[in-house]
Amino acid sequence: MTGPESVAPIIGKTFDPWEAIGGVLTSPVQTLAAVVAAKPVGMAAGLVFAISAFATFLGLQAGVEDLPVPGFQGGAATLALSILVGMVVLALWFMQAGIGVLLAELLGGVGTSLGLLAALGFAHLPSLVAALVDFLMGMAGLGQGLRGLVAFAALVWVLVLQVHAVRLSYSLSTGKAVAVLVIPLVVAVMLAIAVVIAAGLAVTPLLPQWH
Amino acid sequence: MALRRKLVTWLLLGTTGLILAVAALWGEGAAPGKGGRGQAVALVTVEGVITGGTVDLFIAGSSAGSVMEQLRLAREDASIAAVLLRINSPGGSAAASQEIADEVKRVREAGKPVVASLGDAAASGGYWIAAVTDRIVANPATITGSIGVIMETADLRELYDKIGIDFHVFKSGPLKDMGSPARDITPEERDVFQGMVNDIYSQFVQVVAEGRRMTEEEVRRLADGRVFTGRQAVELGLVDDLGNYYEALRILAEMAGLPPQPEVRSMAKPAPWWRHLLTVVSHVVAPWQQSGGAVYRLPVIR
Repeated sequence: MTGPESVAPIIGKTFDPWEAIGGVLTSPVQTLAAVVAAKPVGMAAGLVFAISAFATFLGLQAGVEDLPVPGFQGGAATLALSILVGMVVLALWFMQAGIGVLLAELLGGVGTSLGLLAALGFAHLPSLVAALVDFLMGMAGLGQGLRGLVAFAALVWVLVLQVHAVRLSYSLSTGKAVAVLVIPLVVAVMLAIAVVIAAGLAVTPLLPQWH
Repeated sequence: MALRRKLVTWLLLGTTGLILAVAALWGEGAAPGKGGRGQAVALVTVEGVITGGTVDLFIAGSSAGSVMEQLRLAREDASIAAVLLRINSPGGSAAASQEIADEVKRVREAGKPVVASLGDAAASGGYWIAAVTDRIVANPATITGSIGVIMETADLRELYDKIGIDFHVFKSGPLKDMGSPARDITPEERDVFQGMVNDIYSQFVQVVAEGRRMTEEEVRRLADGRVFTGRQAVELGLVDDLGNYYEALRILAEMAGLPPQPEVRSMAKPAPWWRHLLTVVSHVVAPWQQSGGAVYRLPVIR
């Protein structure tokens, strides 16, 4: 990966959102550099919400048919869950950017928080591609294994874009950018394990004992 | 380059729009395999406390109106060959259970077999409904039975004294305020209430006897209000088979002469999307709301 100094934003002098969406997928580094410079936070928020809600909607529409879940079927339930997931992912995106800013500055990076927020939002775009491909594969009757592979590939794609986003917005090396993204995940996993162990220890004496 | 990026954007958005339309139609049943073809099974669910009228916004349960409408639609829909009644209910209003049971009978009279699949529980009012179906399938650990009627009143005089509330009652007849929480119950009122409970109980016993092809005496021996597990209920003749939802579906398909894995169509009317968001809240609020408040309750079978 090249350093941020060598990246010239290729999206003209005025930021064109229609160009940026395709650009993230075809020429990600230059496009994300343009996003960092333009800071289109509102559009990024819209993308994050729309992509996650849309991906959830497609997944549920494809899978809801055989669910014997009383009172929680049909398009309305799917729409409600999709909106809920969109809102949760929106909140997570905001939190990720907040923690990212903190860690990036702790690691010596210099940049703008709004630039990082916007770039991390645009980095969600591969999830949209993955959702479309997954739905088409599902309609074609392809197996879960291949669909899982596509999902994994999309995850890696998003992570790579996120590394670019951090690197470009805070002028960090690739290693430090990876650290900015990985450290919160490691801490979250460790916290989750600690909470599960603590909850287990607290609840065990209360469980009914069968002899 | 700029043109290529814009092209990719429009291609992506166009595909998204197209697939969104396809997915929406898929979900609404317009896609192949989701409605419109031949012999389908209607899925009607009775979930939670059975109530009359419309279910309160914050109370999780099944209203008689909604379940009856689903059964009526299943009866009138020519593409529906049979009905799978999924029951997961501890009971509820006696009259509401009776209304639903009557509608189940009409479906059967229309020549469409009805099989009840019992979930966690199908007790009391839930069992009343199950008893009128062609066949009952329960899990071995399903809680069922509870054939009986209960009615409760509360005496709140001491509470009213403590908070300084005094009632002045004007009534047209001696029994117009029967069950009032502001005074003790009279022997005459006790007789009236007990008579009501006994009458509903008799109706319940009769329904079970007819549905399960047992004598009323046989039912009364089991109908002291106790609950049974699904396995015990099979031994006692209150349930026909042990099995889960899919086993019930298989049995129903066999009865109706359908393929082993028939198309299943939910008869539930889609709720508005915001209602589903409130469902989460309702499950938190419902136990609290149902635990207090009412001091004079309609006869319930639970």
